[in-house]
Amino acid sequence: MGILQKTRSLARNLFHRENVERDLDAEVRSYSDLLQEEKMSDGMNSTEAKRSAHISIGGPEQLKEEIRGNRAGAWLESLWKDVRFGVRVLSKNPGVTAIAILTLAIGIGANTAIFSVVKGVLLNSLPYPQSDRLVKLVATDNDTPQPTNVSYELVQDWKRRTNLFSAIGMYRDFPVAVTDQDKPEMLVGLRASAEYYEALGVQPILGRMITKDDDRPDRWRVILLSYGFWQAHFGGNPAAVGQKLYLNARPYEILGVMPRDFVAITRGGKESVPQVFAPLGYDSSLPYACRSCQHLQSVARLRDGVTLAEARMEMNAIAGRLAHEFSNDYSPSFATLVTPLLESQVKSVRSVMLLVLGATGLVLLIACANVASLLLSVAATRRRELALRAALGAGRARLLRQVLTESILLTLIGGAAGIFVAIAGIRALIAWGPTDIPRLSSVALDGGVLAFTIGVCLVTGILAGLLPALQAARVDQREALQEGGRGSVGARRKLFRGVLIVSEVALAFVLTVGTSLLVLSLVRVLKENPGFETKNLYTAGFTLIGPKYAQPGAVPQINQQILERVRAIPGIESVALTSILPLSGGWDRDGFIIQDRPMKDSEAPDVDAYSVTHDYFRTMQIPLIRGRFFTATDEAASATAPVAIISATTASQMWPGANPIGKRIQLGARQDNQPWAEIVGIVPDVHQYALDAGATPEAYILSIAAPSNFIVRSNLPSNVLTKEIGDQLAALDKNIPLSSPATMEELIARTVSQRRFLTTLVGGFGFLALLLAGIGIYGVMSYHVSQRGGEIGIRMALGAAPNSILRLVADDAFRLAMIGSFIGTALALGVTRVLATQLYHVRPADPTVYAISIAIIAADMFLACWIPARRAMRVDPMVALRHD
Amino acid sequence: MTKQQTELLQGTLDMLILKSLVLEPLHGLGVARRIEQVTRGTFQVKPGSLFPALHRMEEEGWLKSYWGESANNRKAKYYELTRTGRRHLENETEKWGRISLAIARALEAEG
Repeated sequence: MGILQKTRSLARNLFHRENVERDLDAEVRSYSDLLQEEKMSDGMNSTEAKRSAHISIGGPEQLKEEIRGNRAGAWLESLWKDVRFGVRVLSKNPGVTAIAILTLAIGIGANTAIFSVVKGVLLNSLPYPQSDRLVKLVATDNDTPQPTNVSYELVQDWKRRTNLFSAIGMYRDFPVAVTDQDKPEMLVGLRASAEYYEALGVQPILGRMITKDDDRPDRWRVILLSYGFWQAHFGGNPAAVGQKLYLNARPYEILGVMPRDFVAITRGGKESVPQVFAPLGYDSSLPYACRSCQHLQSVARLRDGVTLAEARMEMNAIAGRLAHEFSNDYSPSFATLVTPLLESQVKSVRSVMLLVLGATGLVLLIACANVASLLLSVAATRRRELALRAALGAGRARLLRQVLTESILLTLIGGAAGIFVAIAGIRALIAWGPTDIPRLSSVALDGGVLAFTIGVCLVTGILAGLLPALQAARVDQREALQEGGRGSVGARRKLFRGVLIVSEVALAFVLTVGTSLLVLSLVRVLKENPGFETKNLYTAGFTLIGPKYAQPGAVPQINQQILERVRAIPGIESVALTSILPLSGGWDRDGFIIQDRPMKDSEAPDVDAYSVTHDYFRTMQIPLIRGRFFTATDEAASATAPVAIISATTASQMWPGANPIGKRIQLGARQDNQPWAEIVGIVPDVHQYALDAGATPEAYILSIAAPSNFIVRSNLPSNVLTKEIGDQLAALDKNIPLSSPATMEELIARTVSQRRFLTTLVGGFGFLALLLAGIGIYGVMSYHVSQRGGEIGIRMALGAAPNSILRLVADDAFRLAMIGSFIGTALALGVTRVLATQLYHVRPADPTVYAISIAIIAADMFLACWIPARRAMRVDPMVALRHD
Repeated sequence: MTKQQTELLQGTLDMLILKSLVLEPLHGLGVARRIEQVTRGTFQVKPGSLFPALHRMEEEGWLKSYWGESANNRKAKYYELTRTGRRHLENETEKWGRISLAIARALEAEG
């Protein structure tokens, strides 16, 4: 009953205000009249009675105000009044308001953009049913630098021994070419077991899903198309289902089409969005399904009720038992990693994203301080109006609320403008960001992001308004109502201003230090020598398609022909083939087996293995330490008399202090019925994984049959090389497509793309921070100059040198900058420790960096003070003195 | 009463206003005079406290208002108890009785 009444009253107060006011006015007047009447009947005359009634009431306006303040919806009315008041104050200072809104738009917009990416990549759940049940399973041991793989037989071992999972899926890349057309078209494909699709819970929109029956070595030539590929290649025609698609010269029956929004779990990277999906098609009889043939990846679904901790414990217990039972295949330190799928996808980018978010937060704080400073500067306009309200009986809390309303109004408008900044920013980030940010498809300006933005606006508004509000609430009514009231109010405002500037400088300093550290790291990483000459080096992959290449001897023959033809291209200095390209994201690790050191295969240490043609070292310009390089003669005899070259680390690890030349090795597994490779030379280490990852032990086997990547030393531009080599290949056989052409410099750039991304963004924000801090100081300085116009005029009239005027005005700014740098140094020393994982050969407390940063801040302050200082020196004493 | 005292005794003021309207509807001044009379001059309610209270209680639904004529034929806004108001008065009176009894006992107790 009460609520209904209240709502009715609320509605009446808001929408029928005129009637309500008239009624109120009438009631107060009637009361006054009745009181008068009473007093007259007590004996006063009419004038006295009127005055006495007036005094009793205490002023009709105030009484009405009191009544208004207590009725339903009063707070809404007063809030609306505050908003109107705020708008009035802000529109009286359009310059200040515009700068504030611009500053906020940039600060809030940047935060919104970065948060969108953070939310889409790190926070949004994966697009699969009950995605928190999905985990990545990985085999690892002490010898594995980057655990990612499993083997087919290992997964079977797991299936036989545990009930933790409702499905364990396996997958691998499937690079194929569509061959029933003029030029073979390379596709990105995925081969995955039936349980993979089951674990992800995906159903096709057309046709049927891959089943266990399809997932067999004799039956696996069926595929599902991705939605995009179906549209592009078949025009979205449903009759595509049931047709045959020729991949690598073999027919595959099209089973169906995947949903448009299906995101497959793959090896990773922007370029690995699959266009065709096939079954894995393995079984235990295949040679490459062996326990130690670890080239697959696995995603599994935990059963309901199984916790991650339970799963980890059980899988590690099983790993121990497996290492014991199958000691030939699993090393003694064999273990299993169980990682929630989301975590494993985003692990590599999480720290970078959070650092960038932190940097944006700092910029926003600086923007806050600037807005607070701007709000302080409009205090003069606000002061008198506030004092009027205070005189009318508004309490201190009310005044505080007024200023906060103003600042929140500013931040909401700035935030709305910032949304546009954010939209542009998100597009830029997706287009120019590092290529290997996962889950970019789920980045969007959705409801969650908008809620975040509104929250940021409110918090920013309160923060920015705090100091000005405190200053306004202390307004002494009488003093403010007098003309030109200065004194204590001015001094307090100066203190607040000083605090703001000092914090801005400190925060800008932190960002400057961060940027310098990151830039130094990036420079030092790029200067690292990966062990070979990186300029003018071109790489590309090629695929031999067709059943004729399965014949024995066919591959060495065609590779030989390919090499001869490509060597003959004018402008090419040298060319070789290799199975693995350094710094390309791929690798091949095998056990290093020494003939006269019998041990279990699983206990043999792993090395990075390369199959290369004889010209490899000359093409890569890798020097020789000991022994000799491969020759063409070696290559011709490589099938029966294999030779090998090892890297320096391999030599010193396997034969410390001894000469390895002449020793015999095999890679992978001991096969005494096969020839052993003789070590003929030692070369320096090469960085296989990353410039800043250090070298790993390496071994090169001479082979003309195994490798499928070109490595070409030439001055020609890469598009010319792609065309020339492509032509030569096509002349031999039109079914040998060239894939992934890239210069070595491009490959290296990809390995540092995240580092560069982080450095660029933090640097950008650092620049923004310096700009905002500079604007802040400029504002303060201008104000000082205009306030002290009289003082400057007197000094100049008395003959003061322009330098001393300059010093007078700049003194303040200098002092603030120094204090700010001091505090900034302390802050930076603490904060930059979170950067430690991103730094390379740079200590977070590197003194050079701090010296550089102080210099940058000083330059920034100098620039900011320049214009106000010059204005001070050009002050005309006569004008200044008269103005006072 | 000063502002502070009013806030302290808001519940009490409500009760006094309701009580004063038990017999017949009154206008604002009338309510004030009635309270003064009934409390033998202890509570002299100023308009700054009275009118906000009257409006508030009307919004709560305990009072109803209408424009009528005073004794000397002047227009005045009269307030009348509603049924809800009467019930509220009964409840509050009973509560107040219990509280004052408890306080009285507490003050009489030793130590």
